[in-house]
Amino acid sequence: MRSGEIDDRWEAQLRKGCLEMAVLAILASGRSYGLEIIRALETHSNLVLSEGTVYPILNRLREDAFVTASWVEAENGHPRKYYSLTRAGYDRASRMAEVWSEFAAGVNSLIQPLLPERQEKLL
Amino acid sequence: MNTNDPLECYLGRFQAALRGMTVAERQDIVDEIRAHVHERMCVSGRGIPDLLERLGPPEALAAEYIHGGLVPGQRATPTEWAFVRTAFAWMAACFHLAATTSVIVWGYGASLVCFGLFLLRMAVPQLTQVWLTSEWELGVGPDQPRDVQVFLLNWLQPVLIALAVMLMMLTTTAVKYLYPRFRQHKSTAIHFTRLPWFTGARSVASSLGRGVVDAQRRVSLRMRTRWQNI
Repeated sequence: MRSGEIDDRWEAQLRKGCLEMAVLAILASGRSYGLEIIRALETHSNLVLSEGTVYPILNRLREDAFVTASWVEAENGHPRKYYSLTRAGYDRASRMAEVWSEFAAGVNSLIQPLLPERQEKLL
Repeated sequence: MNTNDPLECYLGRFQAALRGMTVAERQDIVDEIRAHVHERMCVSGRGIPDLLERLGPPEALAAEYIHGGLVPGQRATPTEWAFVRTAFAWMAACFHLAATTSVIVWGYGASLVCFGLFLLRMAVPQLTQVWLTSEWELGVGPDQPRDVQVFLLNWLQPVLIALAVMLMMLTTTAVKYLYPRFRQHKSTAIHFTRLPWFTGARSVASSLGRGVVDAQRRVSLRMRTRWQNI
C-alpha cells in the first residue's frame, strides 16, 4: 500500500472519529436538519469529505437515543427531518468534549517537534 | 418510478442495499436522502449527478448505515443494558398490541351492542319494555301487570345512538393513538433483536428448539417401538 493511501485512510478515520462529536456540538446549540448540519460543518471545519457520512451518523445517534428526529414541512415546500439533542446526547457531547480537549492537548505537546515553525528554529 | 431519473435510480439501488432494516426504517432513510438532494439542488443550483457524486456510491452510503461504526464490533458488544432495552421494547410492543386489540374488541363491541339495542328498541318497542312492580319484581315484554313502573321509555333511543357514536369515536381515537405506538415499539424490538448482540442468543434459542424437536421424536419413536412389542 502506498504512503499516500495510508495517509488518506488515516485522515478519513480521524475526520470520521471527530464527526460524531462535531454533529453533537452543532445540535447542542439547537435543533437542526441534515443539510444545515452539513453547512455548519463545512463553514466551521473541514470534517466533511462526503455528505453521505453525516446522515448515517445522525441515524446512529437517533438509534442510540442521543438525538430525537421529527419530520417538519418547511415553508419552501421541502420536508426536513429535524434532529434535537436529548439529555443523554448532551451528556455524551460534554464527555466527548472533555476527552477531546485532554487528548488534543496531549498530542499537541507530543507533535511540537514535527511542526514547521519548530523545525525552522531547530535548523 | 421513472427509471431514467438518476436520483430515483440512485435511491432504488440505495434502498436495495439497506439490508437488515424494516421497510419503515428504509423508507425513512431514503426520504431523508431524497429531501437532502432536492433542497441542495434548489439552494446550490448544482445538477443531480454532481450532488449524487458528493453523497458517494449508493452501496457505500448504505454500508455506512449498516456497518458505519468507527470501531468494528463496537456496537455488537452484548451488554446487560442491550438485553434490557430489547426486552423492554418487546414488552412495550406486546402491551400496545394487547391494548389495541382490547380497545378494538371492547370499544367497537360495546358500540355495536348499543346500536343493536337501538334498532331492537325501534323495531319492537313493546317487546323490549322493562318494568318494575310495586313488589320490586323486574319483568320484560308486553304482558305487564297493572300498577308497574315502566323503564326504558322513548328517551332511551337517542341515548343509545349517542352512546354508540361516542364509543365508536373514542375507540377510533384510542386505536389511532395505540396502533402507531405498537408499530414503533415492534420496529424497535425487531431492530434490536437483529443486531449482532443477539447472534449468540438466537443460536442458543434455535439449538434449544432443535433439542426439543429431537426429544419429541425420540419419545414418539420409543412409544411406537413399545406399542409394536406389545
